[in-house]
Amino acid sequence: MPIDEKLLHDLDERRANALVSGAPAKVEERHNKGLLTARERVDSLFQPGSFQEFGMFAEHQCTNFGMADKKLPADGVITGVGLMEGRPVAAFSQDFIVAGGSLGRVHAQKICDLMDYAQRAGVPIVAFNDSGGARIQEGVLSLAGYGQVFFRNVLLSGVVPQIAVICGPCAGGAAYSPALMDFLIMTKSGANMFICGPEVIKAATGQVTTMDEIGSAAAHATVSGNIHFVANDDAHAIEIVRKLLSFLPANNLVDPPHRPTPELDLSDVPAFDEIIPADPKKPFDVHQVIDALVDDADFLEVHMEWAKSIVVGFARIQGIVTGIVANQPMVRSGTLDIDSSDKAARFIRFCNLYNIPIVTLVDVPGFMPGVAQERGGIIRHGAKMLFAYAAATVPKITVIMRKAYGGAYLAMCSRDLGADMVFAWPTAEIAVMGAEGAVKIVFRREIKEAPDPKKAEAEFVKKYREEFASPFQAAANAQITDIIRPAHTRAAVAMALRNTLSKRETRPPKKHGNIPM
Amino acid sequence: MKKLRVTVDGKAYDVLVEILDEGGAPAPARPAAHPAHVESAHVSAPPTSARSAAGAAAPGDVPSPLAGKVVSIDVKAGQQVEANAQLLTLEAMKMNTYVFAPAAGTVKEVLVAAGDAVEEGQVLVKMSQA
Repeated sequence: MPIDEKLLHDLDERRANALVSGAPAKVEERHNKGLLTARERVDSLFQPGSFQEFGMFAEHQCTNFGMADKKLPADGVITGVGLMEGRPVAAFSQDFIVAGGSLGRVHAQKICDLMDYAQRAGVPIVAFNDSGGARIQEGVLSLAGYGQVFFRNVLLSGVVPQIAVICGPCAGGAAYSPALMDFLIMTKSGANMFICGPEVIKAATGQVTTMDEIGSAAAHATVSGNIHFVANDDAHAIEIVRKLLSFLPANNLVDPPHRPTPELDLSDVPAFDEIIPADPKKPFDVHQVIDALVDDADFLEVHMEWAKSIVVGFARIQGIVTGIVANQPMVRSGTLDIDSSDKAARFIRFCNLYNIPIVTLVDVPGFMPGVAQERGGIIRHGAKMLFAYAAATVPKITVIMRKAYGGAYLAMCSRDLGADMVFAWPTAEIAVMGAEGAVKIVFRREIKEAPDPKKAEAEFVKKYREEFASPFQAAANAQITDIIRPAHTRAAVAMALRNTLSKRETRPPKKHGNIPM
Repeated sequence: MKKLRVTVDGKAYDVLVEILDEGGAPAPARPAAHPAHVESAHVSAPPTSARSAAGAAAPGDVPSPLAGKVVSIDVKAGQQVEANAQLLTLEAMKMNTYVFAPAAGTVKEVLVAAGDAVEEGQVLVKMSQA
């Protein structure tokens, strides 16, 4: 017996109503503003027709404050799973049209159910955040909902990649769910993220500020470091998500999507030979090195506008997915400071969680000197670099391009921190400290007692430089794998990655290490 | 109908393949590979009302990115410069650090001279925007 047409018609009607969030006029309003709806955001993330929605007909159960008669389609959040380049990815998207995307009990439960699904299925999760905050009518149940989401953010951390897109308001406690995820992308306009807004700050402290200064994408991308990518609009944000996921495995138990080239290309790349300036004081842009090293100069830089004295990001080297960590001599002399240590350490730990080999490019004169750095805890922050590298068990390949001094040399994945291979260019200077400082200590008496102390000092500096400002002393002491021509770098690194890909290393079992924070 | 040639054990067979259900909803297709180059949009730090320890930050003020010594002044007061033009050279950690114009404009005043020691955040150059 064929199914009753009425039943099908009723289903179609309910579905059609949910698809426009119960408010077709508001959908049109958003389109006029150039914004995508919550559902369009997920739809455009996935291959056409591949989105399987969970809980389209979910409804709130609240009866307080006249809520009993209020219909909130899908309870203000779209959740489900879809295909991205043939790979399943879970996503949820808060629907600002429905009660301002506010989070109630069922809304939170839908997010939690999806997160539990993502964990079981071992698929990445993408979260579009566009919400006015807690649904006040639902009281403490709404607050509990946030807590349940945070708890799952932590459970999923290190199991499946979590990516947050901030494409609307994300205020107060709501900001902590994205903050617990791996990567945050924020749209340039229309989005803001803060714990206390300008009004609250003024009321509580008297400080006058603006949303731009504390909550905009620009503020978080350049000053606070809270976000990793800035998008021009929704479509660009989705492009960044897709690009990012193209480098990441579905979960921590599988390899990232390597596409090894059938044959290794071992030819020299002459561009490398042109990069290091003859004058050792002159900086160079490390992006030139990265572009010559990675496939098609295709490098997805993370935290591009923050702590710019270090550059981190994803690329492929002859098809092998790689995390790049590189000192940037163009910015603050390429020193390690509080922010750049935090930035690199977090990135290294991410790569380690998801089996992504790390290539480290070194030109570091040291840790940043200064009162603000010392008082700000550069010891504790710099220690994160040491901790992250030493704790990482993925393949670690290091290339010393130029300066590699003191503790900063160690912090840039030296052999002793577990690098599998260390290559040095002939321009490398590997030493405890620079020549001028070193001779003042080592030859203090000789310089003082010399007939011409200035001349004596200059001679000692020259001698020290000849002996130490080269990679040969380090090579003689078996601290590096090989000294190579810069032009050979791509071939050497590609071979090293290919040879080390099967690396396995077991560490003593423990709950977790105690990384300085 | 599609004509295909299939080779089995070195022997070629021409086969005709009829694709059924062409009018129905297609199975989700594997789309073209992700766009090759995607990057984060560029932004600059929004102005802050907070005063830095070393001096006021008014619009057009170019602060020192780090503590160091001024090696050379690479522009003159009154000079028009493009965005990212090199304004002056500092030295710290035995490395030169260049200071660039944040935007196109005119150099109103250079507040430091070669040989001066500067603090991080200290205003080096005042610019008026074009």
